[in-house]
Amino acid sequence: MRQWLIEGKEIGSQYVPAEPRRAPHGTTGTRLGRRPGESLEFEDYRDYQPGDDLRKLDWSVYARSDSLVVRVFREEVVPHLDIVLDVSASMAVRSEKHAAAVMTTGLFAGAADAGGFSTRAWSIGDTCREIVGSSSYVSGWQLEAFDGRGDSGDVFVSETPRMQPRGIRVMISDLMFAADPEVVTTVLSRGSSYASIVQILDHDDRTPPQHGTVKLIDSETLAPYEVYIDDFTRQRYIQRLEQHVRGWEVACERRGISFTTLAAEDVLDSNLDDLVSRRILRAP
Amino acid sequence: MISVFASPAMLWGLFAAAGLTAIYFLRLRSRRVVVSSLLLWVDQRNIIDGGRSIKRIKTPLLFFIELLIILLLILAAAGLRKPSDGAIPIFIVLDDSYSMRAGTGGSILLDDSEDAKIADSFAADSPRRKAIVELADLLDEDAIRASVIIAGSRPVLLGETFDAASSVVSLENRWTCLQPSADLASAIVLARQLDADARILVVSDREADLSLDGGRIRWMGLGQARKNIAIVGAVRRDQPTGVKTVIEVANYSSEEAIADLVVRSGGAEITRELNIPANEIQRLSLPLTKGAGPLELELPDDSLALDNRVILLPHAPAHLNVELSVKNSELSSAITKALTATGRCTINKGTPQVRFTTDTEIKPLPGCWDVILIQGGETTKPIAGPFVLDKRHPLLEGVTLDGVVMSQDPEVNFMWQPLVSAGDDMLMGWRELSSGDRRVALHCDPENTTLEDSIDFPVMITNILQWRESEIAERIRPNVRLGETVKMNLSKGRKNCQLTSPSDEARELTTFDGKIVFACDRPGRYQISLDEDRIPLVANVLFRDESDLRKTAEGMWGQWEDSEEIGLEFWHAATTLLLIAIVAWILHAWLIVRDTRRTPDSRLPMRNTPGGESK
Repeated sequence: MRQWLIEGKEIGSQYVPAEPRRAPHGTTGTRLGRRPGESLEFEDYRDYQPGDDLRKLDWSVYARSDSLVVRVFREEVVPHLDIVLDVSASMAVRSEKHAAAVMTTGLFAGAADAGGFSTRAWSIGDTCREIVGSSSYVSGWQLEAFDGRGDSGDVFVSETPRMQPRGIRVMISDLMFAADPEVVTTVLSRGSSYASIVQILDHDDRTPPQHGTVKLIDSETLAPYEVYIDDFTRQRYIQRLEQHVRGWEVACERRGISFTTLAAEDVLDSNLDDLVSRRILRAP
Repeated sequence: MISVFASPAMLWGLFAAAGLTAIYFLRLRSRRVVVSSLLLWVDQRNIIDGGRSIKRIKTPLLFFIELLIILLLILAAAGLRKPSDGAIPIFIVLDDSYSMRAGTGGSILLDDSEDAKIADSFAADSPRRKAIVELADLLDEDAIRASVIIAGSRPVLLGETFDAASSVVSLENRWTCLQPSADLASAIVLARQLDADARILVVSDREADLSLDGGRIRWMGLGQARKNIAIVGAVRRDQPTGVKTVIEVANYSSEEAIADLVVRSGGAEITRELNIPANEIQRLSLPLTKGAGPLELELPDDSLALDNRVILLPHAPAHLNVELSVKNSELSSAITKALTATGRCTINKGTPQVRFTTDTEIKPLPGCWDVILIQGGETTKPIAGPFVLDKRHPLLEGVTLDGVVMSQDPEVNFMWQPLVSAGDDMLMGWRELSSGDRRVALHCDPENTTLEDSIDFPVMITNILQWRESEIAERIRPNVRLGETVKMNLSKGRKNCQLTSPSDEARELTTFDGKIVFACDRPGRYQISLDEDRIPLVANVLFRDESDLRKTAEGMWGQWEDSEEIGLEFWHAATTLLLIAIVAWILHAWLIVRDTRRTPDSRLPMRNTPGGESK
């Protein structure tokens, strides 16, 4: 698993996270934000607006011209990436999917490192907790087993991790849970400057079994479900999957979250075109 | 081995069921697939409400329906039988002819045939008494539910069911063995009509004369070949010149027999010794004076008492006026000769009661019957037969037409009730006029027929006169044979008619269309009471076949199926099974059509679908 993480980090180091559209106020960092902030580098004056901090009024200008102007400084920010990784059993139902999930996590960690972002990773399985060592180098991460049996979405909502305000957030999951996308995306986007959801699906997730009688076993609940697969059943599954994904897309769109679905096979083949085209990653 | 199927070979059809099962088994054998989640496979509501619900696939329902249809069809074709409810259904056919009385020590019963005496009148070793014992044993040993058919001249089904030895007692007064014959074949047919699969036990004193194949009929013969001397014929005719009687006494044995015939008349009694050769019938004439009363004849007791006594009442045939208007002299001469021979008519005097004529256009005369003799024209042709005769009609009693050439003119057609026909050609017929008088038509051209020269011609003439005589009001033949049906026309105004039987039981007779009809089902004296008038009648036992005990035999013929098979009775459920199969097939078709028409859109909306929750 660590090998997949490192391999992903190496691939991700060729990219950097796309810059946030908003930067957090009141923080100091080593990079200039795109909008006015509270760094020591003076940028301009502007007229006072009700609600502005009175401490930022330029009293000398007021003395000279009786006009209230506010000094505007260029903001300095320290970019941060919070990675939320779904470690439910469904993410490791097959090795390809498992590897793709871990590689994608490493990929974002590598991109963050390449872009000078601080990183913190959270796992959501039966509970939500910080991945030990996720603030340091990737090789020091201690990923837990993918054996969560609960609804990862509900866990994420009820045990929301203490993610960095105004930071960048990315959730990596197959989204194979019943939690309401509207709620999950609201929690994910709240206080963030930029968020994205990367759905990992493997071939078997996208394509139902061939014709015949099949006993389906839920990888998380281990509940069996016997069904005869025919054209109707296959068509119904594909339609439901499309509806499910569409539901997440709509929820993400409402909250300015980038959403993309990655095929596990593409991740393993280092095909990251979708992440780039969706402006989740970019070349440095 | 017990077979609960009428056609076990049809059970090979079970291979179809096995084949269907194999197909479904192979088709339904599931493979295990681990999926990320059942979220997209099962209904969201099931997950939420039911937790770990296991939903079986629906396809096996079609399998079970198809399997049901196949099994129903196989069972229907195989003729499923079910075990009986403990008692074996069986029909017992009892020979009710009087030869079943044969034995030592039987009673004559001619004068007094009360029910109680009838029960005691059987000889101790008679087939009838043996049969009672056999039936009691049968009902005692096996679980049998028997219905009884008394086979006399006509079969009669008793209403009660016999299932125990004690129930045989009720047969004592109902199985009288006083019938002149036993139509066992008709009784068997009746039993089969009532229950085609029931077993039949025939109890008789004769050997089986039917095919007993099929394992359904067992024939129990309880007779014993015996010598018997019997009065088998007795005729009395009171004529103006005196009384003529003809008596026939048969010796049904292989040895010469000497018997004393006791003759009683008017208080006098004489005994006449008869010396009858073996296997012969001796005829004797007993002259009586004019106006003599009833004549009683009696033979000594022997193997069958019932046929040893005869009573002949005075019988003066009616004297009929006959008009003869036949142009052909040859034919006229033959008719005159036959009429004269009857001795009961006057020709061409008084108001005619019967007319013999060759005039096909003759007008009806009230109270007169017409016999129309059709000579025909040039198209008349001889017909040599074969002829079809209505033997039940009184006009053809004793008529055979053996060797007779009849004539027929195709140009002369009359659509009357046929009596004699040859193919489509009707040679003799009759009809009833609106007045109640009757007409008889007979093709008879002396140039083309030999009828007038045959013995059948005077028999026909006699029958015509006798038929006419029988229709005269309140005249009957006083001497009838046992079992004979007596018909009598009543005069207008008669209201009360009562019949007193040999057992002195009186009963009112129902009058229908001016007639009374009753059957003489017991031997002995009857009396018809018409207001103040009394008409005597006697039924004698005069049947050669029944008196001939040389043909009786003892033994068992035919076998039922083995006892285990008897424990099963057919279950006629083929129709029911087929109906159920059709209903199942319709349900099967409906399920297929429903699943074919069902589309994914008709399913519940996904929970995650925008707007889905609100639905």
